[in-house]
Amino acid sequence: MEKNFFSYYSRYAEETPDKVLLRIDDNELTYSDFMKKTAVLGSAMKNAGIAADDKVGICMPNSIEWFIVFWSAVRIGAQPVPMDPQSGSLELSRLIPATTSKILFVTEKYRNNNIINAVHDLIPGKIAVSKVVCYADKAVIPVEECFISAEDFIAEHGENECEIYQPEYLHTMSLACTSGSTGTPKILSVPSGGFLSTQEDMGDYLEFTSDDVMMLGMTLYHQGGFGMGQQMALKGGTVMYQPQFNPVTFLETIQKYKITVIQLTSTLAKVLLSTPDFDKYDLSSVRISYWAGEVLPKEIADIFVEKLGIRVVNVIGSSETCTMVVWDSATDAGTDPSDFRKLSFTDYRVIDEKHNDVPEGETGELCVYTDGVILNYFGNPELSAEKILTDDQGHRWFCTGDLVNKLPNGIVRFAGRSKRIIKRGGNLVHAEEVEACLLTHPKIAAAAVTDEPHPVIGQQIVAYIQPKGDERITRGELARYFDGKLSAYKVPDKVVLVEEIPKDIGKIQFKYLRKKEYK
Amino acid sequence: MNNLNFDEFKQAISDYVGVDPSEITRETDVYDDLYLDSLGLFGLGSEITDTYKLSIPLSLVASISKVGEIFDLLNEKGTPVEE
Repeated sequence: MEKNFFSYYSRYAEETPDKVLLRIDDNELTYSDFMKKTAVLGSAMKNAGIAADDKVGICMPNSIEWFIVFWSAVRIGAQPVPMDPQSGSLELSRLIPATTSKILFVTEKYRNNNIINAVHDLIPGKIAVSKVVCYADKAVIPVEECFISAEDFIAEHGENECEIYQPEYLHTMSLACTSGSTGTPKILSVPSGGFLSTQEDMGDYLEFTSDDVMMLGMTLYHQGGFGMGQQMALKGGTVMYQPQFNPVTFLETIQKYKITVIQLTSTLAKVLLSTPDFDKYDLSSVRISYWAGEVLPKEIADIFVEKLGIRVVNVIGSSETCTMVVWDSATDAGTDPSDFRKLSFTDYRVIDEKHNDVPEGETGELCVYTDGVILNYFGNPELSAEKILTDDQGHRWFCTGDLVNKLPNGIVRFAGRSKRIIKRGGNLVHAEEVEACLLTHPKIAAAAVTDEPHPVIGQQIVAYIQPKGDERITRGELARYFDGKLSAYKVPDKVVLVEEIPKDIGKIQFKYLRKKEYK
Repeated sequence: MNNLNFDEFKQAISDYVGVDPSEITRETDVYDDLYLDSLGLFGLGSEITDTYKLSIPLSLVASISKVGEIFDLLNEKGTPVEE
């Protein structure tokens, strides 16, 4: 029998049943509870008609319940589909049908996004799901056949025993969602065997052990945040997430639980470092800081390595590749954290538009091989063919869209993105998607979206807008218009009204645009 | 204390978020009423720092959500930015 995630989880449930696998705030899930709860919910899903390869949508924030829903689906061979709980009705109306989700698990809300309302607005006209299972107070659950509380769902269908599905190596374990440039979501088919092996390899590289406690700043519903946590879980350690990032709680939690591994982004680190009395927190238990999602400035890496004595491991890549190339202060000290090298279990090429390798010293697109590269973009063969190259040995290579300089000694240096992607904090925002939503606004004649450097969040979203006639539009008005349609992080941070948006054979001239602002 | 004027502060917030100052009170929630997310709140924090030349720790901004709380924070804990 091939190894799979459940062979690890079952083993740890036997060996260390009371060990905490996952902690979020004061809620804990032990390895033994994990096995019991996934049996109950897995059997409930099965008895409710969910079969292997059916898609199980999850629109919930970080929580123990999120984790149980995800793994219960995997336990029966169904495919969990985590969705960003910030998603509004416009995003969900595209995402849910595109993923062919048969059942949805939701919470009432996340921050000011009312998830139940957003889903309710779409049923039955715009989406077809057989059940919406709500982790919410019964008072807020619509009294309609399709909606059911999680409590009732489990009571009605759950059993204590549930067989564990044995996936083939190339079976799709889950579908990960990222937003696409035109509002069409990109849905990633994550391979069971490859995802497992890359997380095992990365956990080995980082020398994680069952004594480690890892605290993540990224979220469970982000494929990267989820995968990094799995690297620790596969070693039998403890993984912690926060319901929402709070710097003081983050630092207090490190002290309280003697966290040994922290996962951060540059934005989160800037916020942490600004905490008054930062120096008074005891961070001596931390041996590794694990970075992803944003460019890591050298000054920040230096603080962690030199001042705090914490090893810095920075990874580059995307949800499509699992583990990627790294910069590691343990071996690469003295060089810039934007200079990356491959790991023993990964490989890269720097290619031109015709997929030929570029010579040393040149810039090209970073193309990455890991065993965990996605199988395909679900329901999108054209995009799959464009982005995933398969070599003679059947290895999948992913064209990341990251532009890098190919330097001597196997080093690549990050140089930017090949597409119009805005990296706002740890979130990727496609300029085209924001433009498409702006153009549906009744007062807007034309719109162009670009980025501007920002001292804290890296890049902010700037919308240049040509109003219809003499109309005036403010950011607040747009935010209100976006509310419930798109995630809050896609709302332009800055709105600039212009007389005309110049176009040049379909390409918007951003440099020119900045000079044409209204006085 | 920096002796700031709340009406002027409201105007500064309004300029950044594009919500009319008449709709902004001490109780206004930056997430629910001003449609910011947590990163947007840091953006607002940076803007205020530029406008008032006063710096407030980002980590404190991260743990509050009412306009009145930001005002109090700036008034009580804001320290002059070194040019």
